Amino acid sequence: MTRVPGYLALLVVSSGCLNVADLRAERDAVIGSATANGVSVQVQDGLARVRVLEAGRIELWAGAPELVLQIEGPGGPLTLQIDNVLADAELQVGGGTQTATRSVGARVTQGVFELTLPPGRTELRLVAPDRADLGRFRFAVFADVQERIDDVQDIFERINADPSLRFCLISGDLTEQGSPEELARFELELGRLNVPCYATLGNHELGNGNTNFHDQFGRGSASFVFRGVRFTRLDSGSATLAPQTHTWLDGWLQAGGDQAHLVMMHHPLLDPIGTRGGGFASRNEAHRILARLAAGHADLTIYGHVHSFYTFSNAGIPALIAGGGGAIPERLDGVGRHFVAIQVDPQTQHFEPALVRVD
Amino acid sequence: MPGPTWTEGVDKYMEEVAAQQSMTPAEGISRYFIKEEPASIIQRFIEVDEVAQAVVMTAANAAINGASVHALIRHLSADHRPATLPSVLESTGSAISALSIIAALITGLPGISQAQATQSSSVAAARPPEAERDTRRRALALTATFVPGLLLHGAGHFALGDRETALGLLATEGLGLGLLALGVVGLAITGASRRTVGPLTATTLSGFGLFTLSWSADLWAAVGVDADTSPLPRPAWQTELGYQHIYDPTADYGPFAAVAFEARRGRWRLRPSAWTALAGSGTRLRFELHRAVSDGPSRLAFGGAATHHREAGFSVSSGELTLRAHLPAEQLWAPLRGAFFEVEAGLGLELYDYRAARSGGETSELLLFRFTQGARFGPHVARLYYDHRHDDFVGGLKVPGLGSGIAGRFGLDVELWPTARWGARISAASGAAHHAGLSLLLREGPL
Repeated sequence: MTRVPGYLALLVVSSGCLNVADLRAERDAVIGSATANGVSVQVQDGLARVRVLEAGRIELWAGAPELVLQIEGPGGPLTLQIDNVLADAELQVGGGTQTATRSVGARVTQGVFELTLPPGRTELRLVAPDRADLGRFRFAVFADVQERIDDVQDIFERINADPSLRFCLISGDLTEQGSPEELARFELELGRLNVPCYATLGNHELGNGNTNFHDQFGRGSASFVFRGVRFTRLDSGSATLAPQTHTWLDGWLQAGGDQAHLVMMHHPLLDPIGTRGGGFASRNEAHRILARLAAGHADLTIYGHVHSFYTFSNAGIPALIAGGGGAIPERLDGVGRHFVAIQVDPQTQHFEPALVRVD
Repeated sequence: MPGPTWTEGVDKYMEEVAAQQSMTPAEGISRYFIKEEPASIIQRFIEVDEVAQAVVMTAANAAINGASVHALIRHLSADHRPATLPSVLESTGSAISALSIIAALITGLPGISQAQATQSSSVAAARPPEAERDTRRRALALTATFVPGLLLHGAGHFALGDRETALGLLATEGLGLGLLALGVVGLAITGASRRTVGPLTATTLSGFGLFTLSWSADLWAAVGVDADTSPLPRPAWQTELGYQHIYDPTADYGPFAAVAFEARRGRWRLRPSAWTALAGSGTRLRFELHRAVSDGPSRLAFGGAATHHREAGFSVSSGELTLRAHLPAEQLWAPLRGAFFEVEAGLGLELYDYRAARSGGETSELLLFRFTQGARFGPHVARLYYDHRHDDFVGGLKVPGLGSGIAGRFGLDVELWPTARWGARISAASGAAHHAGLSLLLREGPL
């Protein structure tokens, strides 16, 4: 029995920690807030990352089609650059009383606005011109580009070829290891797209640090509403949700109870092929989340991680996996590289996915 | 009798044994002393004449006290664990000194006795005691199991001088790595295709199992555990009542009461069990039934289990079919006495029911794979295991970086039996949740 402590030590060394996603949730909580040189910026719900905050210049990376910003400072001229925005997005100043002039940016999805702010606090709103339209609209979903960054351009070309797609969702694994260089390269390639992309991270963003994704693109878990539809993305890159993310999800489900609600994450809660086990580390945690998604009237769940296209049902909620971004494809499935175009009807809360093959 | 003696009967016996094992009689004798008579100082059979000389010499002097001779020999052979040829040779120095003392005692010549004792003392002072050397050897072996043993399994045995077992463990590691590579490469080539992922994952896990077991087996012998080699007791029935604690940051439960009953009749084994949360919501009912296909020290059994797991908002009902194998490690490698391996593999099907779901009846498969290295320490039993399950209260491992969600859980289960009937079980496991438990055991039947 004297050897048992040794085996116990071995067990402890071999076993994993339970808080593998907590640090990223803590990081999520502070995204969108910054203060420097007497100027503070607060992006509502953390839906944009503040990349530059200096005298007369603020640069943001948007994580949603529409943003609400509070800027407080001495006032004066300001150049506000927001990357990853709708090509037709407008910036309203002072509660919508005036619209800032948008100059041509380096990319279609880059908005550069020249403003003169009064001293004190000013509210700015980045809005979509069709925001009040509750008719059907379309968007694209893809995931799992990983090592095939040199081939992703043809997917982008196909997305650009369909002007009805308002934006893209990416359900993780943008890169192979998640290094800052890989993430910067991915952003560079995103410049080819005519629509913004709102991404969460996958496990392949965690091979080179825990929060590189946040440094580049902002929150891993966030929720926004566009044209009456709620889009929630969750950081499941560690095959779990941080306890804080569970709490956020409850709030977003409550807020989206009357809306069409899409919930996206990287790891499927439950892999539709159970023997593969590509889902959450704990099936019980997955069941708990699914039970809450069902109770919260989620209408569609979207995943990545599995490099193929699946449609199935979890807790009675339609689900799809859109893992055709290029990484080692699942063989013998007859699918290949792809993205998914989804039409949503905010009135009926119905999502209609369509597979778009790229190969 | 002073020790194993070469007689006509032994001569014939050794010839037969050597022939059965495809060895020469000399090799057979050498192997016999390494394996069966590690405490023998001279590492050979005693001739009949030598026995006669010892008898005459002892009988010729009435002052010789047999008890003291016996005590001295016991002191020299205090290490009853399996020894190896180098360790025996290493102890020869001490043995020579001891023999000198014995000779002095036997001859009863004070002058010679004193002189030889002085010489022996100086030799003994120059060499560390046998126990100390054994400790050093074990420390060397233990170190070798990590460096280079983590890469070259069997290094611990090699350091102990047991090349045969060392090579066996190395070969097992090679086989494990081969299967692991086959599985991983297969998964990569097929992109974890739904059509092949089951067999390929099972191949990967088999490789991982062989890889880890070959290392832990090396570690087992290196630490030199004095383990029990008798078969595990299989009581007619056993009950279990305990407190279990699950730490899962995403769940509302923590403490559980657990009860289990296990009955054996012939080749059948029945085990119903129940867990219920003392705070929060969580209940698990499980019913296991297995039938032994083969009996004896090595056992094979097939069976199944039905489980119902319920929490607030959902329930999971599952059925499983598994095949279990139990193999005493010494049947593979003789020095691993007291250790045993267990493997369980199978498939399961889960049926989910969510209280708020718009539709029900969703199912999912389970790939079941568990491998265990266990050991007996007298009446006590310890098991260290890997279980590929991702369900139940513990789930699979969460790990930082790329790899979360793939691995199952690790666990330790220790049964302590201070009396034949009453015992305790200490359980611990780590996956997506941590589990620790303590149960009271009561058993009855053939032990």
